[in-house]
Amino acid sequence: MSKQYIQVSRITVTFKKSIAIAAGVLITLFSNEADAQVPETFIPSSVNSELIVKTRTSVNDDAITLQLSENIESLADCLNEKFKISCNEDQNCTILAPAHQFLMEISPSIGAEKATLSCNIEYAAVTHSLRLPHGFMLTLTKPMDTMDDTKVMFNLMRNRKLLISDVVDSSLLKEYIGSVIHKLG
Amino acid sequence: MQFLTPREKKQLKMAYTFEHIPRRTYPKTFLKDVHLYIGYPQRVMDNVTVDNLTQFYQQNFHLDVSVAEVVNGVSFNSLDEKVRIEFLPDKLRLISRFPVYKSFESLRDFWFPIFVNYFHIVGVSSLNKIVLSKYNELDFQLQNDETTLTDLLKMVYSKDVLELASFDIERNESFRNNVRREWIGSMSSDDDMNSVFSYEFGFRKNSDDLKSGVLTLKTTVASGNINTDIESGLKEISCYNDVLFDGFHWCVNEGIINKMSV
Repeated sequence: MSKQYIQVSRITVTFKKSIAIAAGVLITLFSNEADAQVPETFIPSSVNSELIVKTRTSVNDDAITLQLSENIESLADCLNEKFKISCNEDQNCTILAPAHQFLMEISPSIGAEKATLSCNIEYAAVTHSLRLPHGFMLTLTKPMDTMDDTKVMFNLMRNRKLLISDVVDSSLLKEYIGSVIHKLG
Repeated sequence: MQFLTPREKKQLKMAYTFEHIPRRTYPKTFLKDVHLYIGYPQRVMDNVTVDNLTQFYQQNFHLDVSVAEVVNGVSFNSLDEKVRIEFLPDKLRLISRFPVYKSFESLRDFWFPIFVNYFHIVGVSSLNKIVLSKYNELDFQLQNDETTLTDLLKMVYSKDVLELASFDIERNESFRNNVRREWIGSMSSDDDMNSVFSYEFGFRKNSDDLKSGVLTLKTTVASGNINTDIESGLKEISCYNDVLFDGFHWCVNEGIINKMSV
């Protein structure tokens, strides 16, 4: 764990103001004139919000149960605030999303353990890293960074070593992952 | 404004034709986040002195990082969570949130020298991807029954945006999820650095009666796969910001701009 310097960061003050744009219609705008500066104090943080599959996960049309390795805020940010996330004290969280936003399911059978994951490709804002059993890590990257929305970047790593890196048509992703798993035995 | 099929996108290039608006910083805003992504060919750690990189992080963030983090990538959050910066083997990613984000110029003046220093240390001499996006959230309350959500949408978003979104605004049903549209173009007609402008607007309710919630607007300019030197690439980001500024004005109703101006 990196050494952390905890200091009092600069105080930034924002003023928000509700403004009527029509009779009975209020919007809130923020003052852009407060004297804010780039904070001087940083803390190290995880590069990726990682989702760790707890056990065999139960999946229905609109819910997944996952155990999180990161704080909820960063996860929510990772998932682009499209999902409703609720967690209990053990950090077992349920992520809800409209069923149609789940464009695929991955069912890898790596080793003795099995896990079923769902991942939203269409709205993923950043790289999703999914930690699989036995040191495998799967990352899927949003098409926002490509010219073609149908493409998704697929990376499979094990113990930080890149095994496979490819660009895959999202409609073929499930089939592609199936072939990868088959090759891995 | 013209929208293209994926096939047309690959065939056609044109300059953005948003009305050009002289740049200014408005006294009021509903901007929440600015995201900057800079991609480059994967650095080869064999050519990088870990000590130099460690020193870079120490100097700029006053933090010691492990060798593993130096090699595999490291990110930092500011304590107030208004700034997040990620140094990864093949990309930089910066998120600057309001009110720390005051203007593109302040972001550029603070961060670009740090980026240039970083590129020098890790031996990056070219960039292959640039994405700049801005995310806005507008809180609203409807305090009477006469005004509907549809009325509000028309007050906030431009007519062009609502028409091009091609959803039935009167039925409102499809507005529960974000609507995303994109347009390919260049900064100028003779510009080789093709890019895509996209906007995504949406709605998040606070109450079932739709009387309060948040209207969202995300605008993005993303390059295609490019190969440009550092200096040209960083200059290009300023052009992207100009496109976003013009694009934002194209997306929102003039009445909102007027409210932001005073």
